[in-house]
Amino acid sequence: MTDPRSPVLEVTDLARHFPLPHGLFSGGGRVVKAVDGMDFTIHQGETLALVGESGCGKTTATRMILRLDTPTRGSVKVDGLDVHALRGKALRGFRSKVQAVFQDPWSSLNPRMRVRDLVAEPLVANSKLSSKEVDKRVAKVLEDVGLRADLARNFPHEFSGGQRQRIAIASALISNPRLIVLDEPVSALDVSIRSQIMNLFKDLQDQYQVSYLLVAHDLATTRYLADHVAVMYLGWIVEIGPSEQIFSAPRHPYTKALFSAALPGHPDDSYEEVILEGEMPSPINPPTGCAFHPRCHLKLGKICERQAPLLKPAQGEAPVACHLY
Amino acid sequence: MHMSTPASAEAPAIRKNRARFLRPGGYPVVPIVILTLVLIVPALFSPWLAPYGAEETDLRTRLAPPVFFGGSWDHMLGTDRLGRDVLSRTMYGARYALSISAVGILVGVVIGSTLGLIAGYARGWFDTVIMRLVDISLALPAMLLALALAALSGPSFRSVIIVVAFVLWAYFARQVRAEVLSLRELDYVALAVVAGSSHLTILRRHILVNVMNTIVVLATLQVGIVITLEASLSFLGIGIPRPTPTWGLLVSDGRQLLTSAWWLSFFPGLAILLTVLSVNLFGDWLRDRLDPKQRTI
Amino acid sequence: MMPSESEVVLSVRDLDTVISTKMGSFSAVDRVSFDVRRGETLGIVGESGSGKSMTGLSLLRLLPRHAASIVGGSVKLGETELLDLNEPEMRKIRGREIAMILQDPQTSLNPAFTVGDQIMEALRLHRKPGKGGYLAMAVEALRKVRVAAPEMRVSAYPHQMSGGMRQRVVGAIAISCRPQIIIADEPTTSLDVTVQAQYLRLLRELQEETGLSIIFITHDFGIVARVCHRLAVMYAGQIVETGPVRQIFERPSHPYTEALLASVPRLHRQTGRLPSITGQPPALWNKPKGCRFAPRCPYADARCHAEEPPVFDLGGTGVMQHSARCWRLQP
Repeated sequence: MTDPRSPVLEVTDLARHFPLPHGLFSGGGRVVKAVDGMDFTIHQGETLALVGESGCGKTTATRMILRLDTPTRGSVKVDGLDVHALRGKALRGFRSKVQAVFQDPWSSLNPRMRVRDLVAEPLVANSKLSSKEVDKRVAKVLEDVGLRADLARNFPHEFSGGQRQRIAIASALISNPRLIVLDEPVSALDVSIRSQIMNLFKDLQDQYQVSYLLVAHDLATTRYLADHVAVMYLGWIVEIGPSEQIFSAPRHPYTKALFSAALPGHPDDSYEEVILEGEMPSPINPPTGCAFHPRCHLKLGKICERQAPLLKPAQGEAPVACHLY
Repeated sequence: MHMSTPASAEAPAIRKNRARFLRPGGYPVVPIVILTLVLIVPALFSPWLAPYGAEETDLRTRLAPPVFFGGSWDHMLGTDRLGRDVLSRTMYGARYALSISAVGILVGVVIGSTLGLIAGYARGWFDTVIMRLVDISLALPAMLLALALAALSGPSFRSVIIVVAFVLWAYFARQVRAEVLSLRELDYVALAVVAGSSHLTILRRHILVNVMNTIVVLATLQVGIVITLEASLSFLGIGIPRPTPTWGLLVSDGRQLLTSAWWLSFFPGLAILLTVLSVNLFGDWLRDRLDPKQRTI
Repeated sequence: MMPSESEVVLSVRDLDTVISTKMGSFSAVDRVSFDVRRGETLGIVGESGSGKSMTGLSLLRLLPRHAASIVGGSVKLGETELLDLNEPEMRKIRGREIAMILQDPQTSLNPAFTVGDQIMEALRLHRKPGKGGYLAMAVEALRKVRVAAPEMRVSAYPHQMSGGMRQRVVGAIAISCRPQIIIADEPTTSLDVTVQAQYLRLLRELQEETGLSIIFITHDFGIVARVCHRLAVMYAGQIVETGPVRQIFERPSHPYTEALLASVPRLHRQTGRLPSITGQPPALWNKPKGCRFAPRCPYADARCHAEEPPVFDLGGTGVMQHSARCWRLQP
């Protein structure tokens, strides 16, 4: 049986490059480096958040972890097994270990399937249980997410956004996964529903001892749910560490700017206003050296243009990729 | 943790400003009635309902006009050169209209949709090959095929079906493929892959089920095309062979006497018009009805 | 951040908008009243179904004709009653006196025309050409919204620009005719956090320069805290609380406002468990009798379920005016 201390998820030097078609551009063979070398681990019962803006590569990374896409380089290991090398029965085993909840509760559920079949899909696809057994499991998991078991007969359009997300969560839980990838799970929900769902995630984590890989752009949500945070910019991790530390004392200049841009909860909340100029550059043509240097308000100088900083622990604390440290 | 109850059933849709007389109570009553009277009832029951046989000639009453234009109630819609009753022949014509549409569309849709599904879901090699076939098929004029078939084995019911299927399959393959391409990007398809479902299961439960609507609606809207196609083919003599009373042939036969015995072409032509119009209106309604669930505000 | 006492530019009283459905007509905006002063940003906050977007559309009479209509109330721009104007007169107001910015910059701009063309289209409708003609005015509008190299950007197409820049272009079109008021309906929802920060700063600067009033429709309290002076909270078609932002954040008077504020996680404060509001907002066709929030309200009593509370004045005048719709506030 797997050692509870060994990581549930181990990502090493993960990269994904998309080749651009030749011909239309002068000099073919150019590449979009959507993700360019990520390393992190998640242990049992923990939550790691990938934080960053659009174009930073977090969605691409999750797709590779979910085996919906193949990495160009690097490996994804779940319970020690390389995910992309699995076939047949071992692959089915992986599928029941890693599940996902996506952002949009409307497109996450097939409108023509009953809730019972939707929720049961991961179970039915990977194990041979009798119909009655499946029904029992569906009923239990529906109750765990706060829905009445008799609602299994209904269709998705009979439910509200928050309830649909609960159904999606139930479906992700039913196979008793080790890891659930949460891709912006509350952004499409009304504000008053979000807190219900966020509390639900916390309760379920206690109950099922499941790990979460959380992708969210809302920093307050992230702070509430995550034990560890990895901040991404243009395909690589610029800072990673325990969320308490990162949030209370961000060190990388981008992290600082990101947090300052996050809106305060109160008009009186102080914030160090760091407003970045420009927008995230295109990953087709990333800046040389440190990709953040054109917008960095703490830029050191030429070294930032020439050399990409490595992600390494600085001063005995959590890793950060910046020449300042 | 608290329990939630389902939101009450579907929210009412915003009222659309459509011609309400065509759809009292939300159903397309007028088109359905017309279709029943003009197409379905005659197609199914003409042997019992038609006043005369389709080939029953009576040379004494040749070229009699319709009843309100100088004729008699014996032949309500007039007679043709051989004294055959126009009403009866038009009624028998409905059988061919219905059978050609049904069979032709079925064959074309099944072939086209299957290929479209494969092309859209599997992508890669399958997609390229199938789409090239579609391109070729769409580039070949149907008439050419019809002529070839007529030359090879003579005009027949079977050759018309082949031509119809040939015309339709490529169009369906394209439409279905386009729909599948967008469906497979939906979150729930990705989640089905993550859940571990096999490709076949995904195709069946997630993709096909959701393309079905489009297929049904499109198929309905093809009826008009098929009937007109048969009419054109028969008109040219490369469709169903004479003396079968298809609507197309009836119109064609009345061509030469258009100015004198206008009723020979008029009534079969009117039957075509009413059928095509009603089917299209019905298809429109069906499309709206089956479309993404009524929007809520 | 508070503007000093200034004149009221827009005065809305008892605005009533109704949506027609197959099942009948239902009220989407119910006796909504508020004022907007010169140089002030009023936030209208609510969740989906609260009626906030409908309110924005109603002000400019942009409701879809067969689906919704204004059935009562008054919207006064200065001395002019907007609800009495006919369509040609209303067109003179739209874009010229009151402009609107919508959420999705993708669909707000026509992909077939350059950015400059679209700004000039607005200019041609409402203003006479200045020195250098309309093109120069368009370049100037782009400069005002801090688009770099505006002389070049003016001939770019929307798809050549990023989301943040497109939203600035939308802003440029809005301010090009120097309106008194801009209605912004969730303009930053689709933008990245850092881009949003830039955009909000831009709006603030424009406001300080020109005395522009902004009605900011949003569901995000964070935005409200950063850019709004006053706030109106909407629930199920009604305004349940209106007042100065700081006061509402510190002492929310309506239970919904209080619960909503409590349920939003704070970035800079350590929270224990996140309080949440049970249930969901009522459906359009199924509003409860009495106070609409009562079914979910922790303080509701028998009267709350039976009778709808009126708006109670909590004191303050002008910009400090504070009121809420709750029986607990009855003196």
